[in-house]
Amino acid sequence: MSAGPYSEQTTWTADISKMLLQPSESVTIAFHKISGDTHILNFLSAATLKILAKGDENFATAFPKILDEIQMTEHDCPASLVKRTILELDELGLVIPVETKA
Amino acid sequence: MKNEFQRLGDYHREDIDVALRSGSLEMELGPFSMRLEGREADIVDFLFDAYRDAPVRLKLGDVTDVAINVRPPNIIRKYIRRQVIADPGFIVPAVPLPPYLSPLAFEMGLNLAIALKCCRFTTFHSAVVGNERGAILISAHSGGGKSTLASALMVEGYRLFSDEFGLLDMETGMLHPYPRPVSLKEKSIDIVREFTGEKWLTKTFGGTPKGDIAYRRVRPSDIQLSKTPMAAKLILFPVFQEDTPPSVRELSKSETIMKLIPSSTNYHLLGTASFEALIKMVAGAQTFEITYGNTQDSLEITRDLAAKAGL
Amino acid sequence: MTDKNKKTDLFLEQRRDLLKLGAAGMPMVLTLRASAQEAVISQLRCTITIPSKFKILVDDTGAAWVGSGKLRTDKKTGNLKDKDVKNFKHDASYIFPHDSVSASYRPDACEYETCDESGGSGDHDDLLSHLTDENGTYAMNDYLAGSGEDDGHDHSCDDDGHAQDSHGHSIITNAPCGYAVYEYSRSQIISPGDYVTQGGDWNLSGDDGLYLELSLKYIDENGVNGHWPGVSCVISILNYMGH
Repeated sequence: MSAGPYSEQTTWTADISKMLLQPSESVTIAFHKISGDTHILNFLSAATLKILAKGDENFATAFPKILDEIQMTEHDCPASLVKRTILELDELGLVIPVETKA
Repeated sequence: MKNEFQRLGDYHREDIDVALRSGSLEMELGPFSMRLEGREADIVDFLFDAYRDAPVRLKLGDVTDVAINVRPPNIIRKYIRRQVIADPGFIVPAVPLPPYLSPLAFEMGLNLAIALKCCRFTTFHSAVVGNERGAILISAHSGGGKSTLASALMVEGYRLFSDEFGLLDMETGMLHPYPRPVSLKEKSIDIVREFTGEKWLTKTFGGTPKGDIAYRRVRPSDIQLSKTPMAAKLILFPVFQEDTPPSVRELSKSETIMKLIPSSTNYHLLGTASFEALIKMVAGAQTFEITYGNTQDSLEITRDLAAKAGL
Repeated sequence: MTDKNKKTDLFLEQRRDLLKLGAAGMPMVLTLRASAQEAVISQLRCTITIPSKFKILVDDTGAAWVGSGKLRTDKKTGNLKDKDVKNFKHDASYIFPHDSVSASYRPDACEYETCDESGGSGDHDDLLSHLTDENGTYAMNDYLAGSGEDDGHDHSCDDDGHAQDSHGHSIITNAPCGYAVYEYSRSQIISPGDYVTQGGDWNLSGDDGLYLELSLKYIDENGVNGHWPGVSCVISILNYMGH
């Protein structure tokens, strides 16, 4: 799912200056200037992008911030889903890992 | 004699033939000037039949947007079991066809040239018609009924922008006309003949890669207005399902974009400007998926939706 | 990006539903790519419409005869009439030599009943199984039995020209054997592009597959200039595939 190797300590970042983000009804349409690809982000992936654009986060630190952003509980949105969403965004080049600790 | 554009049908056949053979025939439609070359008499017949109202001149201007040469695929096929292909100046998997189908090669070649090499507009595989208030973009795969619906809407008074391309201006977000003959396949030929009348159809070409094909001619008024773009007011995705009762589903903006991007031949190449123009076009239009079982149903639905969209 | 003011019950419920789908594996991001190949791929979308009803008669050597003549079954034996087979071959519009048809479309060769206790060849169930697709939708009639065709062989094992295999299946000995007949109705539409794999190869199956297989043989021999229905469509795909 990810574009490369990662660990639980990997921190991730998003550079939204490289994107055009267009909220549209319940989704966000994201045009990635680097790849030329257009992505449709749902509320979870859009919130994930927003949190990682504010500052570098690993899975553990990003998780509560994302839950707060989407106003959902861990019961509704398990950590595994947030992790998978970050890896999806990484695969698409919308977020990138900035540091990997052994 | 001045090298000015004039109606193709007003030229002598010999003049068109000579210019076509020498590759100096230039046609101008909408935003494109096209350099045309070919040696087949069938193409000359076709030009006088399907393009008789199009402006052409016999000597080239400085620049043309598109160049099409309908020629044999190789020296052998020039003489033995003769075939032709349309060469747009770059490598495409052209279909070798017998000479009597050279008009078809000509049309397919022009389509490929615009689809794959036009970078001035974001191109969508769709039909577009319009009136003085706005345009209707009809997006469907081959066989989805866009040509038939476009032909029906022409009878309703809409002008033809294009049967094959939505040309989206990346600065204005408006659609530009490129009125070429409407390609009709198989059963749609008789359907369109019924409501358009025989005089607007070319002869039918049989045995083509897509079955029987005939063309609905472009009207002089479509050509006269071919430099007047309009904003899309209505975007339709027709789905033909035989014997299905008609139904309409309004689409969200994001779903519309999801459907339009894969139908573009150059969106990915054109970057930010293309994205912004697409967002602009979709924001200004109402979009629907219409499911229908016959042309009358699709026409009635479109009439209704067009009225609601202010067309 | 998130409107925190929209926390209606329905709104939250919709979000929860979406998260459930996400937990079940649905991607949270949808990526769209323009298809620069759209115009080119349209070449794959051509279809072949069978202009008039016709049949393809295939024998066990892989030879085929294409025509519209009668191929009736004998009411008594349930097998092809010898005279019809002869006439069909004689009047065929197209004839393809041995090995034109791949093994999956060929009937078993004639085998003759030896009338021993172990039963004969020609188990009907087995023969049918390889001639029916997974959907069971073939409009195919197969006429398969061990018999003497028109070669003068006579392998009758009982008075009425029938032998029984160990399962009680009838082995016809006085009718043409080793033939399969594939029937195509008028206006039947074949979409050759459906049989092109993502890797750009043919993956032929079913009745349509046989038709396309013979189309390819025909093109090898005649190029685009013949009259085989749909030849241009198949050539356009061959060109797309770079053949």
